[in-house]
Amino acid sequence: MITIEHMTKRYGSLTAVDDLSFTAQSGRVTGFLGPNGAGKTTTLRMATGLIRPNAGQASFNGKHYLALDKPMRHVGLALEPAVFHPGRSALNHLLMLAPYAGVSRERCLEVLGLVGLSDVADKRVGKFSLGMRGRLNLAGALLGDPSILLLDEPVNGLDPEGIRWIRELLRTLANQGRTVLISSHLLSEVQQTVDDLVIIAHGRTVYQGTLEQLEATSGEQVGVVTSDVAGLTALARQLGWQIVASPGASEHPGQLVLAGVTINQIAATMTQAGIPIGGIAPMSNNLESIFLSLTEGQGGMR
Amino acid sequence: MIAAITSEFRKFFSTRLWWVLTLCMVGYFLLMSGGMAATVGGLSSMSPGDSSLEGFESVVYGIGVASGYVFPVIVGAIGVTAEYRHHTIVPTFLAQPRRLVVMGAKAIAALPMGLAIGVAGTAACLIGGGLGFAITGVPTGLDQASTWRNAGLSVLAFTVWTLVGVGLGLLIISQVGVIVFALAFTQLVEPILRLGMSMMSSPVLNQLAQYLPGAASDSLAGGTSLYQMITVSATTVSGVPPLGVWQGGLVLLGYAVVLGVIGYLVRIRRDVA
Repeated sequence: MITIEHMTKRYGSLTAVDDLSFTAQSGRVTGFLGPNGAGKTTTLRMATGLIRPNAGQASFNGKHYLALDKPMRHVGLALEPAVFHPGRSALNHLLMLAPYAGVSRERCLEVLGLVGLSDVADKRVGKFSLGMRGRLNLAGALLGDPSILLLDEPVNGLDPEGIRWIRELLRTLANQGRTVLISSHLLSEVQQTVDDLVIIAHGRTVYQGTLEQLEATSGEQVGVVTSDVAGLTALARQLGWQIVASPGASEHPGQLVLAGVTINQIAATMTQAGIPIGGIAPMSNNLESIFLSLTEGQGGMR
Repeated sequence: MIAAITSEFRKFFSTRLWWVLTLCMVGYFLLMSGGMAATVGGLSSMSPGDSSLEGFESVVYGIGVASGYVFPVIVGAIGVTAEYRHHTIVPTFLAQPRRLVVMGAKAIAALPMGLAIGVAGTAACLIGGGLGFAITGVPTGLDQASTWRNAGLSVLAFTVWTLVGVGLGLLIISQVGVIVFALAFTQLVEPILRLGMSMMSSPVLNQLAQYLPGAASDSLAGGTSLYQMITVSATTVSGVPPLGVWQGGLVLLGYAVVLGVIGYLVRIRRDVA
């Protein structure tokens, strides 16, 4: 289990991470989501002692990272950007980490096989593609057979086959009872992989819960364009229809998104009340748009 | 700690740098000592009986440690600077979050590396110089105990210089920065300071000049460098004796420790982005 409590990091007047708290459970894959610059990387770096938080703490199965004996045996980390000495071979990269993980050369070879890099074990990393680097980064995280995995943008640079492969791998790891946290800036990228979601924006947690709960909040929604927004708003309030804050609502002042009511009901009622209908259509309210509405206008900061 | 030291060795030997650097150093020392020995030998065969050319074997054999200590400095510094340059300091600190352990391991791992490069460098000078003397028909001095004592001290000086390199790496972090600083300081700044301070008629400055790193190194290496000979002959006029072997060694080690501690406190403990 990973527990992040009240993490805060300020850079001068800029607050990159603002009182952030969440937990990631064992046996589940947790997606750690937010737009670029929302504070994901900073949070992961604070949790692992690379940078010092102004406030708050993180624990891994109840222990602070700095208090772990041989951290690689407890927490497997693949941070972005993946870093390697370009002149070192893939195997030598793992061999350099092996003493810290307390593992043998055989384990290094085994992990290389697991991520599909056996054939290029002796090749210099400087010649690796982005996808191969991602795989080697993952191999380093798996080396110590840790019970917690923390992977920063693991899908980055992988081809569709690689993405399917990593999804299955992460599922297997979680089924073995491990805690798996994967960060991403795209919900669609991890949607098929995660059980739980932590969504952050502007350094704060804006959603924590299961993927199902998030999906449930998105009922059928209807977009209506009208020249009498005030009239429609009043009508919706009177009849108990839900007015959904829609992404980009401010750019479309003549548009409302309604929920908890069918498209036919809206059309009939508006006609009856004499409110002009400029356009009306069901909105396919996918998770990505919920994600966007949760994080809207809050990203773009580092 | 043992894990960290093992890791440092694997880092060092898993890139091409160590043998490229050793090869450069050995080649450079062979040419320098060989060239110098041949020149001295040639001159003395032209003017037999010129006593001013006697005792030059020790200078020739010590030319590596006297003018080539930038090599062990690079070897020592590279463990720190390469990690920061390629950002591999991130996985290192993730694997061992206690940074003092990581840096301590780098210093300890530098010792046998310094010893090895010291043996290679000193051997190159003995071989190059010995050949140069032998070809020009001058006694090589390789049968004298003092030659071998100085050779041993030269190896020791290389080792301590490697530690100075670790300290410099901790403080400067940048690979190019360390090399530029080491070259500029040892080849330009220090010689001027050292000569200037030794020539002054102030005993305090004469004394202080002995504590400059290059001077301390020359004392450690048995006082075989040309500089040492010039400056000592100047300072003996004012009655300031040069540092002994042990004193020189301790002063040089002091530089390594002071650089390393400052570097650790101000650079290494910082956030790693």
